[in-house]
Amino acid sequence: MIRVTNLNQSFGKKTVLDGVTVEIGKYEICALVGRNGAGKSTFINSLLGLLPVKQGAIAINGIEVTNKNDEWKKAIAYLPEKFMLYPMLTGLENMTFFAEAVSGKADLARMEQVLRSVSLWDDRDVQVKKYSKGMLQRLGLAITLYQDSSILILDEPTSGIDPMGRKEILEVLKSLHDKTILLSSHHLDEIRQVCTHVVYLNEGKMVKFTVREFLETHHLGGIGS
Amino acid sequence: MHYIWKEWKENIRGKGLWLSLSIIVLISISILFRSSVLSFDKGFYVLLINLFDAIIYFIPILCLFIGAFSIFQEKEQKTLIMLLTKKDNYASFLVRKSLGLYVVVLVPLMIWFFLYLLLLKFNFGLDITSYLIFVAAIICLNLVFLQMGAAIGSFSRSRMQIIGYTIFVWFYFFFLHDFILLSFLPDVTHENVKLFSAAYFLNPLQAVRMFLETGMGLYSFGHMSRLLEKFMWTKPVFFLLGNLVIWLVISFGTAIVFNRKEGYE
Repeated sequence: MIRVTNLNQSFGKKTVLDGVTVEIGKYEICALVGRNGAGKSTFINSLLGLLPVKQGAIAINGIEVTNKNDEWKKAIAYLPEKFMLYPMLTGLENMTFFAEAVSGKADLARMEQVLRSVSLWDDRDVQVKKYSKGMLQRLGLAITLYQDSSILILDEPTSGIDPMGRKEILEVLKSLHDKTILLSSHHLDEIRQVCTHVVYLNEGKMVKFTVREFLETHHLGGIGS
Repeated sequence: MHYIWKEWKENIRGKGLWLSLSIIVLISISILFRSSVLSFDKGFYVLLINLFDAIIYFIPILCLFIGAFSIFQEKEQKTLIMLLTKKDNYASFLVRKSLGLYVVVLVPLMIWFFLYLLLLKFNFGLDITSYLIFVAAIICLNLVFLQMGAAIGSFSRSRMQIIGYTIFVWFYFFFLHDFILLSFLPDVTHENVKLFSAAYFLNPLQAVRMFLETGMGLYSFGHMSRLLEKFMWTKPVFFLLGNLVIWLVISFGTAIVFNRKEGYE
């Protein structure tokens, strides 16, 4: 569970997050929505501890996000937008590296299970530079799933992917019933298909809706279906 | 260990490392051919000094670029962010990444210099101690400039910045540092010569060169003027080790304090 209380983030005189208070409950799949430059990345980076929290508080599964302890990091797995991984390594080698970086040693059986779940086991020995955008995105997802964290933070996981690739990613996301997911997205159709809630960021303020409420409140019921 | 494994696989499958190594191989071979007219007894030392003079221009800029681009790629590929959101912080990432880079650059280089020693055996009388001193000098040069490169990669925001900083650092140590010290030369006295010497040997190129040339017995410290004695206030190996420690610490410190994790700043 993610609990954010009165979070403020500003760069110089510009206030990006202005007293954001929100709670994302267990097993919710929550879309993070807002215009470009609304502060979505700032919000995500605050959750990840990449930006210091000067005002307000963030708790992940009840543990406060600070630089003093890393306990909260175990609960979170993050997939950035437009990542490329290591192109000269194969899919399996990339996964092995991240597995070892996270837990010290890689469990091949578990890697096989996760790679099969994203339909990449047969392509495990292909160099990542030869992967399509969709395959790369699925590999990234596999790397985050391997970590077995209870919370996934996905930054535009379907950005720049063809419709078939998007469908595959969404299928994987829909199958994750035991995870709390925060995903940043611009696609209303994928929000409608996958998400249970929406947190809407506008002018530094954040409001949480159910998907239905969000679509109705913003008169978007007929768009993106 | 997994960083070393990853760096190794990434680099041996890329072209950059092999291209760089092939340039060093070509330089070494061409110097060996040119030195074939030298005497069997003394030619070995002349060859090593010539080789050092030839690759001293290349190794620093090569290491600066490898270090800088290797760190920058982690930012560009977003793997840095992925690693930092788990166990690693920037300092631990940098230590592991640097060890990986040391292995990737030094292992092929050491293998080549071992093979080169075998080639030298056919032409010259070998002095293994001098050769080890030469190899140690090259290793130190690599370590210092790889770490400086890693610092450049850490605080740079774009590839153009990396190129700019790298050329500046290279230019500074090859020309500017000595040029600045030359302007202070008329003011050097017995009282401040130690300070001047410390500043002089802060240049890794000078510290390495002094270590190599004195280690090979090209210079003797037997008959020095009082001023020069004060200038050489400790052994060249200590100047080199001091230089190594100072630059590694400064480079690590700068990288950690001024690093920019691309993507959210």
